[in-house]
Amino acid sequence: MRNKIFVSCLTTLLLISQGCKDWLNQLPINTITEDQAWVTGSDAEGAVAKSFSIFRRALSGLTKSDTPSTTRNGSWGDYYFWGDARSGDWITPNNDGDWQAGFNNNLIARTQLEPMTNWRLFYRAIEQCNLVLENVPTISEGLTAERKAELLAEAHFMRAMSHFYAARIWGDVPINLSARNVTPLGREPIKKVMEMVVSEADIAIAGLPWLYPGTRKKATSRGTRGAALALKAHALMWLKDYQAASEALNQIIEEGTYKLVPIEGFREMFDTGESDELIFQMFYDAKVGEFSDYYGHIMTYYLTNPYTSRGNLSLAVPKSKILEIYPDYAANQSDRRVAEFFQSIDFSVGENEIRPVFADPLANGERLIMFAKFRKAKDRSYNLMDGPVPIFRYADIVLLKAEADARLGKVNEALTLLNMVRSRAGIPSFTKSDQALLIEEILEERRRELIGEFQRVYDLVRLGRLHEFNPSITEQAEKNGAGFFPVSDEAFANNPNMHQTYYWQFNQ
Amino acid sequence: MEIMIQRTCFLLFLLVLSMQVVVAQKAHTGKVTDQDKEILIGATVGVKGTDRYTITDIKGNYSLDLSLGDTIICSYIGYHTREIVFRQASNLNIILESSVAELESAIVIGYGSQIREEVTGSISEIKMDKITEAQVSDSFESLLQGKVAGMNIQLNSGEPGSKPTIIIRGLAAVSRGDASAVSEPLYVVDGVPIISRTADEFSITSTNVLADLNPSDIEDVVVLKDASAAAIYGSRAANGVILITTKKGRRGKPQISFNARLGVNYVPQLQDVAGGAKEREQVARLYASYAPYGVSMPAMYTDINNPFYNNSSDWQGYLYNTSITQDFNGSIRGAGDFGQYSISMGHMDNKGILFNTGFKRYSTMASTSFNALKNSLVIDNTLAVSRTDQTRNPDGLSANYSTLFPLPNNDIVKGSEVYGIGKNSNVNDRIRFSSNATLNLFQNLTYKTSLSLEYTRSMKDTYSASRRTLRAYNSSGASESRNLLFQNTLNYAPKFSEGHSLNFLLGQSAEKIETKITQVNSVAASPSLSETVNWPSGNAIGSSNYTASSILSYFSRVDYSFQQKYMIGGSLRADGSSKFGQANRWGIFPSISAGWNFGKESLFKNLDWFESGKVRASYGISGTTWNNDYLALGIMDGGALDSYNSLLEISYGGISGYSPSWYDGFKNENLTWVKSQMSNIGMDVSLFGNKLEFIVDAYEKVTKGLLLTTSLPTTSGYNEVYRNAANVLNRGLEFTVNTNINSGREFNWNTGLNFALNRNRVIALPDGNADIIKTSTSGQDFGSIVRTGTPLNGFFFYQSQGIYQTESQIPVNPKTGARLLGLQNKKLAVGDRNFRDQNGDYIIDVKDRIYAGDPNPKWTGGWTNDLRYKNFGLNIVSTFVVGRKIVNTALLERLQFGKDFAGARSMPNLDNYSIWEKSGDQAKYPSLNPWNDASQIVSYDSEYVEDGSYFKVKAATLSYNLNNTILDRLGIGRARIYCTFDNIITFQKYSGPDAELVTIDGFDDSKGYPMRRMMLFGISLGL
Repeated sequence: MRNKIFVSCLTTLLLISQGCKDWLNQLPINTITEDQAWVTGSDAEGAVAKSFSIFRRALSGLTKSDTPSTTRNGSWGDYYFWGDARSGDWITPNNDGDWQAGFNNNLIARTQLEPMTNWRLFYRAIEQCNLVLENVPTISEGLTAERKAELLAEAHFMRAMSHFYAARIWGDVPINLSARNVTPLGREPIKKVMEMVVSEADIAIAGLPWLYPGTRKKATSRGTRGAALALKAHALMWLKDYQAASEALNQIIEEGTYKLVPIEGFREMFDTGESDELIFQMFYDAKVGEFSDYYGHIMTYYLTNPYTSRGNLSLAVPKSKILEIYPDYAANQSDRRVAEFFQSIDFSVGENEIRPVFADPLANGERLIMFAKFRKAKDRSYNLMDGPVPIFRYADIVLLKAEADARLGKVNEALTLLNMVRSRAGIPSFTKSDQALLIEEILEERRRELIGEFQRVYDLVRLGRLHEFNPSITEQAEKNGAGFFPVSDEAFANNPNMHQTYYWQFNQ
Repeated sequence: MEIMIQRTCFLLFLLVLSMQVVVAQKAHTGKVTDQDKEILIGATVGVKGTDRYTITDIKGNYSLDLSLGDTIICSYIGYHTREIVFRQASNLNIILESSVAELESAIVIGYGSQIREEVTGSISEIKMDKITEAQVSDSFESLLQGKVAGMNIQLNSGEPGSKPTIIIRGLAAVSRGDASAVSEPLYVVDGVPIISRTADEFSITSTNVLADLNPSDIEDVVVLKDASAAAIYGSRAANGVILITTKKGRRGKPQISFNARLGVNYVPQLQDVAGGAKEREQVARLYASYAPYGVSMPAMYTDINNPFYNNSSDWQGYLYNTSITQDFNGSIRGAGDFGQYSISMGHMDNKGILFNTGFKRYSTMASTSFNALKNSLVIDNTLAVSRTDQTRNPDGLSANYSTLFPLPNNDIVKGSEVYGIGKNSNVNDRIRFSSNATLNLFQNLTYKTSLSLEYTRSMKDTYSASRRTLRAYNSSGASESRNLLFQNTLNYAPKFSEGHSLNFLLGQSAEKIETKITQVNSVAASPSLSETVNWPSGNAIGSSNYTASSILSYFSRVDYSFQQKYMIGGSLRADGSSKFGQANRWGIFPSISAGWNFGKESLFKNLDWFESGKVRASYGISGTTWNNDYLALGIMDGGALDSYNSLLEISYGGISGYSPSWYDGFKNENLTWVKSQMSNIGMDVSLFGNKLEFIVDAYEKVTKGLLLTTSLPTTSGYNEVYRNAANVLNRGLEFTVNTNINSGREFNWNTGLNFALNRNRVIALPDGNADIIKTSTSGQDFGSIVRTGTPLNGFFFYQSQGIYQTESQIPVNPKTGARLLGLQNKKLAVGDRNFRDQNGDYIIDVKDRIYAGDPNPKWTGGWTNDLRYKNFGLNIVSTFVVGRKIVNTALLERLQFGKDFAGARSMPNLDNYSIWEKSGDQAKYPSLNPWNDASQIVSYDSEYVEDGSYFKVKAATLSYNLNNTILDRLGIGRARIYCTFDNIITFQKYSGPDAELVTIDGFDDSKGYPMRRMMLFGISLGL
């Protein structure tokens, strides 16, 4: 008997020691670990999509869930505040103190603006790409070599895109090209950043297709050859390498994938994103559940009843400014873009009723014109937004090439391109071949065409001309870096190599 | 020695069974008593060499068939066995001599027991019987207060069911955020580590997890303080180990016992409140002195016709009331050749003194042992089931309403509720089952295997509604933990002649703990009066979470002793944990110890007054881990639905994927055990026939690699990473003095005094020893600092220099002519607090804060007195803490008046505090001006740091053992009635209510619940 027990004990022990092998491997069931994250092709697909999703978050702005050092509950659509707010074209009809401080380039003192100085989310998108570039090459299960190459090229594209976008906002920014890089990185000169963007974009261009199968919107929400070429060209414009920029832009035009849609197609472009004109956009679509809440999309602030439940305008372009920007409309109401971009609402109707839209876009007074370029709200009651956020579109590319060509002295090419955009808008062709006037007119056309599309401030900062349009910024201040956003305090934590932009060392 | 009488006998079966009947005999009777002539019930009396034996009855009498020349052998646990040769005229009344040493000779240690004399580690044992028969408490931990040198137990709240803080040999836990990082010991019940807490993100009720152990079921508690004792528990023993042994049946007739007690809880002294007219007068005075032009008092303070004007409501008196605590325990236990059984049941209902608070416990425990294979196989089964219930108000525990507001029983407002409408139910359940088999394989070689399962579940259902917004909030949640433990040990204890003794232990254990939480919340548009969650579409959020960890361990221990004079021992444990990456998975925890019973040397043999003496020394390493089970593995984040049900955080273009969870860093293979190295030397001396006993210990504990976050540069994308970064040193001395004075036969006086000194110091922090100013995740500053070279969690305060009496006292910057700028850029004025401008920049800000006091107690201890005269007993327990600083946050918050202070809450009687009102006032507190630009009652003002030392007479029990003659008539074995006064008096310098009821960081939390005073009446019966 005793032996039997002894033997059965031993057997049990043996069985148990076999079971013990896996005893110490406890894995979570509600998420996965790093080791499990890079196994199959769908892991790779998901990880790359995630980098775009982080970039989408980065553009809308960080909140207190991203870092405890900020107090903001929701993001505000920061792409607008970086790319448009300080252009001198905007006012705040409801006298919002934070917006006004932003227009006046008072970017440090107000705690509400502080999250806009924090680049953390851009570097999250960059780190996600770094992780993809480190791990996806080892994945073979469920992933063809062709698709793998595309995904890696997309990661290069998004990594370059995030650096590029951050450099346009902050000027000199750190370059992080390796995963888990915890060394305290200092800021690199913007020239070096843009050179890196160009070389990364070149890698991406080689591996990316012009379009993906599926809808136009889905295809242009991801990294394509066109998007990478546009990125490269924009970076080259910052480097003032107009020849190379013109060549890159020419490739997009030559390919013929994109076109200027007729003005009737604007609603599709700005409401659904299903348009042949868009080259790269941030994906939003309520039909698949990807819509933004009250915060996070700039439309919230310039739309009112009848599109949303908001009663008053918070951001707008004043009537006099519209007439100044669109002289042809002022003269004979010929510029068809005004009616596409602006609307006048009958504010005399009660707040709880649907307010009618006047036929005349500028029927209202100076401070009561609604900027309605983007006006697709998902749901009036909750202010859920559904419109795309375009990053690059064909008109932008056409005008950018016009600028590059004009600067290169290729006046005829430039005029042709400029007039393509003008004729679509229904305004007369520009004919003056004086280079300086032409360049000026191209810039004005970019202002007219791309108003409220987060391009204007970058154009002005790139050319060092923000001070001409924003009375709060002096020429010297702009030379000292006032055109760029200050670096947040958080970037200095545990980083002795970080330094503040010269202007912001002395100004609030 | 009545306690001894309660103890029934162990029979010396092997001896008795092997005896043979020799001659014919005749029945003789006799009586067994101890040297004090106390009768001994249940003593075994037998004839040597035969199987004839009997047991003494309740009068101590026995009857035995004897023949001349028989050797009577009489034994009783706790007494020396005596042999008497039966002669014709022999007196058959046997007197046994007590052998206290023998009674307590074996002491439970990790995975076994050890002879007390051979113990070389620092171990303290507490017998619970005496304590649980006199005191009543929610949890056994609070009953241990002041009992063990170096184990500091602090009750942080008077609310029934709340968790006390237990720190053994100094705090060794660091956190950046909330103040609650405590170095918790490991709790082991009958050899099985139990779930003693739940990680914050998985805990759902605030009830003390250990409050479900019925203290009356506990036989004794052993505290393993040093590394040599604790290291056998390896990876979780760094903060000490508490071994709990439950009561088992004893041989003899079945032991049936019943305890009932009833306690009356009295409300202690509450906050002083300016009532009615006094409140009106104070408000009027503040308005008259400070109100800006055009600001006038609310109508209820000025209008005599206002229905509230004449009120003087005693809110505290209304909400705090005398309450009743009831506790009932019954048990039946017994043992025999078959094994033993023990079944107990208990119910406690402790009503709180504050309206709608309380704690209930229902517990039952059954433990059985079966002997098989001629006693070479023993099978034990234990099942324990318990439920605790801490149901309370959905709102806070505040009683801080203005006295002008009518009480709810006032006719004006009859029918309205005191607190918000609703309910907050907190129920914890626990089921423990363990089964083990011990097999004696060969001589001296024993194999034991045990499997135990533990299941805990906490449930919280709340419902609260607001009359104002007509919104109701429902939440419902359950958190469950499962613990599976499989242990195998092999014990070899060969016996040698010449006094060599060896004990060898080899063991393995595998443990897995899983925890799961499910929670649903909702906000309904109107009160639905439902305690379960109804799902309105759109804005209901539910969540669940799961975590699991496992440990695999191998351990061994060798103890060798020579003639119980020289002892040496060592243990080695290897633990593998699922919490770490492959490379750092295994930790080795060794320990060595040695002891010398110098009392056994011939030098001391002839000293009458010298009983025994031992010196001990030990060194060892033990470890701890942390709650986050997957920290080292690199948790990925798939995103979550946002509050508007958008997939924006989850997918992009319909494709979802994972990113790192930026807060917990990335896969961190370098993370490893927190290890604590502890050295200990100690000495035990016993003098004058055990009448005087000294125990002294000195230790040094270095806890290395405490887990802390380091923030990473934003350019990495990650917020922070965890590192084994902080080291903490604790050094201390512990003294215990026990005396046992017998004066004559009827008077006996035992005292136990213990006191311990502990000094705590941070020796390393991450980021180049950068100071950590504790801040909550929402950015709230806690006023505590962790700084290298200083004790943990010091106060980080502004240094007060009194009050500015004249304008000229406010410093002026000689360079700019600008006055010193106060906190929040306030223009300083006369009557404002004079804070020292430490850095001389003429601005008072965070940079001027200093280390302003140490909340860690230097001296802790307890003093127990036990007097007995005839059948009367008096037992007094006191505890004390000396040399720590605490902050009177409660007062500070009451003095902080904002501009709408009038009617917002009750006011203290300002006459009791010296408050500055006009120039020349020698006041402690600055002007209370509610319209000041920045309140001068500043949270981190060193003026509020006070001495937190106290001496507390915790409990006094007067008991009476009923006479045997009465009991005989009733057929009761023993009966004891007693009366205990609990929380009698506290001597303290602290100006607040109770220096004990503060947080571990030393802040008197104003939301605190005062500790009731209690008068307890009890009766315990043994059949």
